[in-house]
Amino acid sequence: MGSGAAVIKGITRRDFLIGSSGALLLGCSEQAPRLPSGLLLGPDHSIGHKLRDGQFPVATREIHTPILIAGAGIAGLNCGWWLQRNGITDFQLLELELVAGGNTRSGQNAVSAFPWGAHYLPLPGTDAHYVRMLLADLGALQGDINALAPTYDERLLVQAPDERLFINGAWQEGLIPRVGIGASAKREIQQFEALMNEWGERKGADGRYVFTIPSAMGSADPAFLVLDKITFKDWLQQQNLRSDVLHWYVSYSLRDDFGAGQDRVSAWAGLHYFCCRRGQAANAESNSVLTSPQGNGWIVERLSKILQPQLKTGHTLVRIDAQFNSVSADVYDSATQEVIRIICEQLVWAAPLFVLPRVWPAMPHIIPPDYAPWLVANLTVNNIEEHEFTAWDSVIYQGQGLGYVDSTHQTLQFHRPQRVLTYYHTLSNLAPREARQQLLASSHETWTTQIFADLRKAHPHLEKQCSAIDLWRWPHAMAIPVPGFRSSLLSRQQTLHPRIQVAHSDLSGVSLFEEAQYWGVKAAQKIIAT
Amino acid sequence: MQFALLVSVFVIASCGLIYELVAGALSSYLLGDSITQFSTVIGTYLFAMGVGSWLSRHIHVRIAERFIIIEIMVGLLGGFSAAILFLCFAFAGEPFRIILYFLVSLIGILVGIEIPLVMRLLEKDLKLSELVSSVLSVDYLGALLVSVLFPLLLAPHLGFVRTSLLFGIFNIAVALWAVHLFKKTIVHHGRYRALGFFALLLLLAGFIGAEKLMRFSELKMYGDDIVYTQSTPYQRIVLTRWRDDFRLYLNGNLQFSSRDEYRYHESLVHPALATLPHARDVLVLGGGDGMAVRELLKYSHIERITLVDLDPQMTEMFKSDSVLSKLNNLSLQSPKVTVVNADALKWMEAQAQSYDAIVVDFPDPTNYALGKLYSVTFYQILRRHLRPQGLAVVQTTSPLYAPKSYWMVNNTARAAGFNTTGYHALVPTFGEWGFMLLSEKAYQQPTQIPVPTRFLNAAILPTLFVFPQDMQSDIQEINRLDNQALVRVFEQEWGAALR
Ligand SMILES: Cc1cc2nc3c(=O)[nH]c(=O)nc-3n(C[C@H](O)[C@H](O)[C@H](O)COP(=O)(O)OP(=O)(O)OC[C@H]3O[C@@H](n4cnc5c(N)ncnc54)[C@H](O)[C@@H]3O)c2cc1C
Repeated sequence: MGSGAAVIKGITRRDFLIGSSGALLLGCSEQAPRLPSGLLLGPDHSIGHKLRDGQFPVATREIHTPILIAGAGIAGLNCGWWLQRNGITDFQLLELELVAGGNTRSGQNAVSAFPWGAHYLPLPGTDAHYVRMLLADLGALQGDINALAPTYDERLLVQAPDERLFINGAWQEGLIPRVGIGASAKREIQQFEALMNEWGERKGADGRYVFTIPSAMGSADPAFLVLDKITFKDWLQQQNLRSDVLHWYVSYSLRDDFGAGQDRVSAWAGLHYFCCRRGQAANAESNSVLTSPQGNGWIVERLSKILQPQLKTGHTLVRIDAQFNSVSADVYDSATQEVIRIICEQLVWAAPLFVLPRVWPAMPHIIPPDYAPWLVANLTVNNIEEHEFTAWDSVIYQGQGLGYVDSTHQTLQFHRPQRVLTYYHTLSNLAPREARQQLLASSHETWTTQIFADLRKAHPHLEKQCSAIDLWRWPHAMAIPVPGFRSSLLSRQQTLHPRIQVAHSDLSGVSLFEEAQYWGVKAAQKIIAT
Repeated sequence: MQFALLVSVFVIASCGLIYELVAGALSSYLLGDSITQFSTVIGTYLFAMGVGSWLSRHIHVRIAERFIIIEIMVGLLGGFSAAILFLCFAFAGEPFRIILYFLVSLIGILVGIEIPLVMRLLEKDLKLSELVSSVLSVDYLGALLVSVLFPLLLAPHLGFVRTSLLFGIFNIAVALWAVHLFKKTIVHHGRYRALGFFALLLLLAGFIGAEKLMRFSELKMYGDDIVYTQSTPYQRIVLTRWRDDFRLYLNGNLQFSSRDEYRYHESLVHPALATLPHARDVLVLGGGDGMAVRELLKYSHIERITLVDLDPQMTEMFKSDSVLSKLNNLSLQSPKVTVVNADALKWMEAQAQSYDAIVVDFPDPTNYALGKLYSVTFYQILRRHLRPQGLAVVQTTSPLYAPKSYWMVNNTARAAGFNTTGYHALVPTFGEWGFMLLSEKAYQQPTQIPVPTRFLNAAILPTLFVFPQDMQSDIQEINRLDNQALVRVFEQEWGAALR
């Protein structure tokens, strides 16, 4: 930026302070808030309702295609990627929404690109082989994809400082509470970390890790199924871990990944969260993650481009009729509002499981998961002082929401007076049904007021700095892995019909990139094998 | 009455502790080394209170009146203490400590007198044992309350200056209340009331005007006369002058002094350019003051100079202002020079042009945003813009004060694939300053400087490349975007150097 050279050249402590003294010496005055306006968005609910009520016109024409994929979320896109990679290009990839991505969709405004959903991908371990292959194809992973610690594109590795927690009136580095907590809490956190390290190393009788990602690569040893019978909260209590501080940290982590805390989540899933990752990088710390201004949206954008010939957005699969030697699929085109019948040899259902019975009345019974509703808010914030917003991910201890990520953090821009902060909130204090009702019934103003109330502790001036808040409501954001979920997976993972494959993170019961991708690739592999 | 006085004790105790906390916090903030500051301030304060208590025995008559006067004095002194200290620091510098301890002692003495006086006012109503126990317990309770409120609420929301003013107002309120309680026994109670209201007015004015006061003192902190100030969206530009010495500050940080900037800019430019007789295209990143460009223009074979600086007001000032453009010899008006106002790294990423020489004159890595401009990614992008025979030179903070930082920049540029050659020069206003040459092939020192200079010549040039032991470091770390290691090390080193 400036001229001459160093900021600190020839400085005395006195000079050093001139620039920064105002705020601390004067403090800040509070003023009556003025709520910024913005958009209230969410998945296309008119189509959602029609799907539920089955109100679509009859098909007007019929076309043929060998392979049809319904749903261009992470699973559907990766299914297409794998097919293409294996020389198969004659397929169609349908997406209900006008853009691909599903829960990994992202947006853009004048200030920055930002996520509407999934925002990061942890470094993949060797079990996440397909993730590594994909990253290598996209140029994000360089060199040997089988290396323990491959090299990643520095631009995608989360920049420092990555995480911070607002606790006891100040920011600390990292999300595990460390500052100003009691001795017993400290001890329990240490115990917990040691336990998680131990469980992370544990293998089943078949020699595989108990907890790994994708979870299908983990041990099939039934000895560990007992963990799925109780909640993680009960499990923690069995280990004599009761500190509020630790329980807050665990709850934050689980809500962030599963949309529900330890009182609802199975102990198996809780342990999976803390123990499944072993990814390393040659050029970053092993707990690093890959991210971009649009979160994981960069992967969606790249895959959408690769799959452009096959991708048809604004196309909803509304009816499935499965026969012995073909599948007939009715597809609603939002642009023309007409229904086309597509006759295919193989159909991949890459959309959430709860929708499937609505379009395929004759399907065998399966147990769909409970879904947690989420709210994502993108706040456009102005006049930012560099030292105020330093980290990528900022969380408030005992906050209402899950904190926010700074979507401009990954840019190389030096001067960033405007930012987009992506705020995450899971409605985990209510049962999913009620929570969904509340999510949809509350006004923009109600949410905005609540978000500022949550962030005010750490950012007393945010309301004045914020010029717009756009909200995205996810009524069925992600599967909650409640106790017993592992046993319902069997019904979900069975072959429903020789010509219909299911590919969605719901098959794992935990909603994560690696899981969605795994099932997308698996579906493609089954099709290739037939 | 008894209740009222106990409430007063509570307020007085809180006020007393606040002034002590503010003095401690302010001095550690301004001087650093919080342990020393806090313990000396608290020690002085407690001792002064002892002195005050001892002095209180000499007050025999008209206790209520004395109490009111002392209360008003504490209110004013304590209330304005933070503002006074800050102004002193801005104006004076060294006498700051003297004033600090003087002020702390004075407030301590006055507070030390207060409590015994209250006790004596209560004496008539209470037994001694009861008296001592209730006064002291209320006293400690007040202390507890503010010691919790100060860090959590007061300091962050009101700041030091306004916190002490607020508690000054509380002191005055107690004084006014006392006037009211004792109005029967005080002869000229109207005068005391007037005095109290006057003090209250002063404090209120201070509270409202606190912001202006701070701004005023900020300017005074620069010491010399301010000849030019400008707040741009990017920075606050201040130019000061003392006799023939112009100094440029950006956001309060000294950028150059016209007395010795030639040493800095000659060292920045000539070791590279003296070895590039065929250089045509040169890129300057940062350096909106045009000083580096002035040195570059001495080479007539350079055809095009592109200067990329974020701040259009900065480059415009140094191009058009009559005083400022004289400092850079009208360099920015040269037809060879193109000024681009852009974010350097973003701009470089977006374009493909390459250069024979690149001069990188960014501010030191004092924050994470600046840390990016010293990362492997930055040097990789820089490398794409440097021609194979070309040279880049980077200003790299002081290898004497911050050797680890200096050598980490070296490691980082190497990690990006560069050959590096470090050197340093003495710039009196800054101290011993460091630079780094980056190239594809090994760098050869020039045998002469082919253009007129005031500082550099062929004889001293080789000495710049010699690093004495105290400018060495065996640090191995690399500054990557995902670790921002440089900002952390830099802060440590300079934090220690500035004490
Ligand atoms: C707020 C939020 C934050 C998250 N953060 C992360 C994160 O940081 N990291 C991470 O790994 N995971 C995160 N996730 C989990 C995320 O869900 C997964 O990463 C992944 O996106 C799931 O992909 P999927 O393909 O299984 O499902 P989906 O994303 O549900 O994709 C299904 C697609 O099918 C479409 N569809 C539905 N019905 C039809 C139909 N009838 N016809 C055609 N198309 C249809 C949908 O529109 C959708 O695009 C987050 C999720 C949310 C909601």
